[in-house]
Amino acid sequence: MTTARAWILLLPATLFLVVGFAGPIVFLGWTSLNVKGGGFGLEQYRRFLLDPFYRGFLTETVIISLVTTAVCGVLAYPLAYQLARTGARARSFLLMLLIAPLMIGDVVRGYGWLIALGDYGVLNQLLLAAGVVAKPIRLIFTPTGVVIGLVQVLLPFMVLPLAAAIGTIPVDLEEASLSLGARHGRIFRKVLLPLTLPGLAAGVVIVFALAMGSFAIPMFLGGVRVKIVGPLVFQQAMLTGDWPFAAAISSVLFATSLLLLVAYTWLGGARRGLEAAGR
Amino acid sequence: MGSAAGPLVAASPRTEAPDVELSGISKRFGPTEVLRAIDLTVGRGELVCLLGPSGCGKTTLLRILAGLVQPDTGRVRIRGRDVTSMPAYERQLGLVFQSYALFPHMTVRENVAFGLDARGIRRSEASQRIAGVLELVHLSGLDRRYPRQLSGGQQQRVALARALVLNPDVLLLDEPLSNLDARLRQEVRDEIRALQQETGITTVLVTHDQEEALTMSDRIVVLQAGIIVQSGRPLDVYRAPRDLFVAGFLGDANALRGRVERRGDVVVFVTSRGLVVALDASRGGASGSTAILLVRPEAIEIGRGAAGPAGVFAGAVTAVRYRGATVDLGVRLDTGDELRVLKTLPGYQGVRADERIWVRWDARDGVLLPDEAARA
Repeated sequence: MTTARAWILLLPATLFLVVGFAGPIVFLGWTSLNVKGGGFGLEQYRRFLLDPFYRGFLTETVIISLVTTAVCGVLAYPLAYQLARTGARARSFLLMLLIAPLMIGDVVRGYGWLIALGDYGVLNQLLLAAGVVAKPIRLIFTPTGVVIGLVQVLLPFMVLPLAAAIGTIPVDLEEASLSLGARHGRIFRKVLLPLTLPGLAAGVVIVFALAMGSFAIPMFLGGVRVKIVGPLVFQQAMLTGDWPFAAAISSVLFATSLLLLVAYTWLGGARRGLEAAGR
Repeated sequence: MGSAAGPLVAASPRTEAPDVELSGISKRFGPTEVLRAIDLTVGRGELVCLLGPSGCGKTTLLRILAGLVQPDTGRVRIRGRDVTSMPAYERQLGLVFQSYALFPHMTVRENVAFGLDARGIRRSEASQRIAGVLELVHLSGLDRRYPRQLSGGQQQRVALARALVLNPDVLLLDEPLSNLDARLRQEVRDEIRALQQETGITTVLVTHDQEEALTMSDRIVVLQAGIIVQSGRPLDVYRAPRDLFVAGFLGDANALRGRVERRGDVVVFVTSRGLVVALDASRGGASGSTAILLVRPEAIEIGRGAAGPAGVFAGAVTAVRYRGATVDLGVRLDTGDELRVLKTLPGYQGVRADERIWVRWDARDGVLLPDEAARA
């Protein structure tokens, strides 16, 4: 009876996931296999992956996503450490500060960055006034601008899992390291980093996947110059009306993220296996 | 000590300065004064135990010594060198945590090698020292295990090895036995003491456990509310506690309240209920002053029956509590004074509750303390 009741409780969410997630994916895959003029085939995939123009979108998106992930990782460690090591009251305040930007939509933030980073935006005005640069530096419609915007949007997704990981490491370990003669750099490399790898990996997977699929930020900050896959899908589906091609691009994007997730799970399993072998 | 462990002996040249010298150490955390003007020296090879209840400041004092906490005032000197503002990683100290703080992702060997690596010791010398220290703590052969594959006692020994392999000037132990179960505790206690005497390493140990303090240390320093209340050899502190707090913290004690009076040629103690107790002449307080007479439960002799030899006190047994090797008796004297008496099994003579008995103790076992409550 308990099992039957459990199934009843599981049913709504399961149905929702099947209808709302698995269903569209199947439909997406189906659509992507349509060939112009009728029939089925891999033509759309060939076009996306083999045509240098379109492949450029994939390459640039991957590079921008990797850089974004790396910058997030570097920026997140100090933040996550502070978050994990402060008292409960200060922590909830810091947490609120960290999460508050998520309440504002990507579109608003994208537009905000456009104003801030524009040729005569706030940043350039300041730099010009301070005499640091002679003429405005180009940030919007460049990969750098997109990375800046993405880092700001995605940083919390790196900080949170990292902070959770650091929180599980007793302060004793750091103090023991200090008393054994290790300075802070060594403590980070030999103790903190290895012990927070699972948290870091989780953050990397989330941030990379979100960066790969980002849309609003590259729309605003990348314009037509920076080739990002998200806006390309939008353009193909909504402006060109080429649904099969848009579906194929989406599928590649989805497969990339899935592959990453599988790699993460597998690496986690491998690590546990390795540790078990030490017995 | 095995020959391989030879270089582990602290081999610094003898100097005039004590190994540890704390002077005027104060520390406050917010409104709480954790330590107040602490002075403490620890000589070469000495094992000093900081004893006190939780919150007395003993752990903070250890952390100040280790360089993990900065004192508000005062100086810390180690082997004559002022290290007050020296960061923890430059002090040559071996710190063993209550939690052991072993690195979970490193093997026993990697844990022990961590400090050597951090101090840039050559690999060949390092592996020699690791082998020596692992032999010293009886962990040879377990060097590839991870901490979680070891028992609590073994983890404790890894923590010790990790600290000792660096030949520290001073070994600092923070509640080293509190995470072990009772039987193991005794074993590890003896092991640590033996190791300490073998290596001759100056050691500061923090504990709230009186037995640990009594059995392990050369000197006990009792702390209360950030102040050193008493300091001395274990037996001396036990036999002559300075006040009721020390007496109660180090063993059990019967405390009789009353006043010191002169009766003819002798000075006696009269409890508030009228019991008259002879005092050891050398310990007599000022006549007429209120005081507390302290008698250890194990110092009291008992006998069956209402009447005994001259000078005994008559009373009745109120409770008999068996504690395995000992029996804990509650006794109410005819004056109404209550006493706890601790006897080993043959010594308690099978007395039962409500039985009439007599008690007595050697005057030298009575410790006269000033009555803090009356003085305040």
